[in-house]
Amino acid sequence: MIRPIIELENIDKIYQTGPVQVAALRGVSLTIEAGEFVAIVGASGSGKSTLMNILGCLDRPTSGVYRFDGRDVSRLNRTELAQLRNRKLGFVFQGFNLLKRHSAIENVELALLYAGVPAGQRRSRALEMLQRVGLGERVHHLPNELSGGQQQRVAIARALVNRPQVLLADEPTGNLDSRTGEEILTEFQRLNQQMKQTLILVTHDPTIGRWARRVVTVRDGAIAGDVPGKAA
Amino acid sequence: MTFLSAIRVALDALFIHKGRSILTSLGIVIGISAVIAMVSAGEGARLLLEDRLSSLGTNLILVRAGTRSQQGMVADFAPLTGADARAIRDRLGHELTAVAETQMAQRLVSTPTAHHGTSIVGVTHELLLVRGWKMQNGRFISSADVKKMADVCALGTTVKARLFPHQDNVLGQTLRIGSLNLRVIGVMESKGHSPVGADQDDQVFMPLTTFQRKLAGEERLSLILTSTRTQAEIEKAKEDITQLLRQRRHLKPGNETFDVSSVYEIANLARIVTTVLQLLVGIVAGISLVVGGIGIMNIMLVSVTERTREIGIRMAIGATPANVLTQFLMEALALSLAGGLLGVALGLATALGLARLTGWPIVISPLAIVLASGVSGAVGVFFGYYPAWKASRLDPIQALRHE
Repeated sequence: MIRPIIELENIDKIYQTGPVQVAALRGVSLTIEAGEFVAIVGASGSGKSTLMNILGCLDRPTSGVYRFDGRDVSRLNRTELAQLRNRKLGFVFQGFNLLKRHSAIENVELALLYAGVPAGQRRSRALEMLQRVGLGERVHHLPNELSGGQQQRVAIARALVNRPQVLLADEPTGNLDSRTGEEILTEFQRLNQQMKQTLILVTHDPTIGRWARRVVTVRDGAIAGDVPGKAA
Repeated sequence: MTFLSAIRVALDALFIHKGRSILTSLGIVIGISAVIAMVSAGEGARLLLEDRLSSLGTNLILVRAGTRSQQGMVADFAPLTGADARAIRDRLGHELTAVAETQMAQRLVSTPTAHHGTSIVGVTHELLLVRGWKMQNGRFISSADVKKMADVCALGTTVKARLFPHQDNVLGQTLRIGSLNLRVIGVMESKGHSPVGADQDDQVFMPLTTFQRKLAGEERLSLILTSTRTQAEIEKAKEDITQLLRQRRHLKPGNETFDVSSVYEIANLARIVTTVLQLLVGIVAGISLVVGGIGIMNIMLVSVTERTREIGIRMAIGATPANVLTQFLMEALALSLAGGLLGVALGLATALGLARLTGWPIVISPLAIVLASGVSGAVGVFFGYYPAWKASRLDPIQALRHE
């Protein structure tokens, strides 16, 4: 049997602000296999962002075990987590989070830079990835010279350029109009169906959630539902 | 990430904020340029001094009337006499190369076509031995000249140029001092300037007896010059001369009415002074470098705060804490090194300008340049460490939420 790529077992995340304890996540268990397209849907404050941060190795659970590709993530130090984020995970954010004073291709190259890829290869791989997301003509543009949809494509190219095992998208269409948003979601579906890319999409909007093949609902820090999406 | 990529990332970031980068590195630029300029000028001055000192002859001993504090003024009491000189010669001659008494005055010297105010020095033939001076032309004052009170003179090259321009051979020419006519019998080789700046070639030498009898009208020695054969014998010779003169004048130690000093100790004093000056320069430079470093630290802290979001993004896509630390450290290093190199260039330009202005030699020390660059780099790394460390400790999630 193939091991799941993500295994969460009884994850708690508790924040201590002074004397008050806030449990953002309680007893969350989740398994995701390679090649899945999962949407995590929840209202604001439901714990979905906390869950995403933990899945993305940006944050550590207070208790519980998180195994990524069989490896216990809680044992990793900050440097190892960073390396994992670089090579095994890709992030796409609501606000695109591109470096504003660097061109599209430089933004994509940055991920390769941190992976230790030499300069010549960086350029060619970044170029190729930008072409794949349809931005071959605009590689030297700065983010403020690109539309929202184009910026998000650059972010996707950056997230995928190191061939990560999992792509994480946090409200990726939140800053886009509905038509551009649909283009991006279509792109995600294509990545998942044709390239077999494992995708986790986090959103507050259930209609967006249904573009995925599996919808996990989060409420009050716990998983409240886990059903197939319309794309399944 | 390789070292070179780190430098590239750092330089890119600095270029983006060109104006701020330039202003920040100004402290280091000014500090380093001041150091380089002063060290170059200082070394040049020292070279000049050494050169002039050696033109005097380092084993020279000067015996003067008057106590130390009255140097340069004619002693009204207990002047040096010919008897003193003879005593030194008789009793201590074996330790010394020769003993040369002199008496001098400032007078106007003229020919039918020119005149020149200069130093007239009454001498004996020993002066040549004591000073190790050579003739360019003709001969020096001889003991026979002194015995006969001959009306002859030997010229320094400056005097010759002033009184007899465009003439190659001036031997046999006559010049007049007051009512005295002297025949030129020799021209000295050029010696250049003394350590205090006096032109040693601007002198006219004549027999001491002629000077005393026909020019000054009195016997009052200005200076007794003597020297030892080796540097090691200087101290003993000085002691012996001092003791002898003390005895002759019945003086207790400490109450001397004369001064015996060697060029050697003047040279040492000069070296001490220049060393102290260079130390002061070093302190000033150190202070300005610290100020420059603090400036860098401040700007880097501001930069880190401003770029918190950017740091969060970098961390999210895989920058390790070490990557972030290195990036900001490299930026601080690039800032300080650039400032240092600019400072070196500016300092050298200033030094060259100074050399042109004062006519002093300029010494460009490669060691100073390397040291200055190294120090400015170290300042950057030292003062840049804290901001870089702060940046590396940022929590990615908080950083991404920033701004």
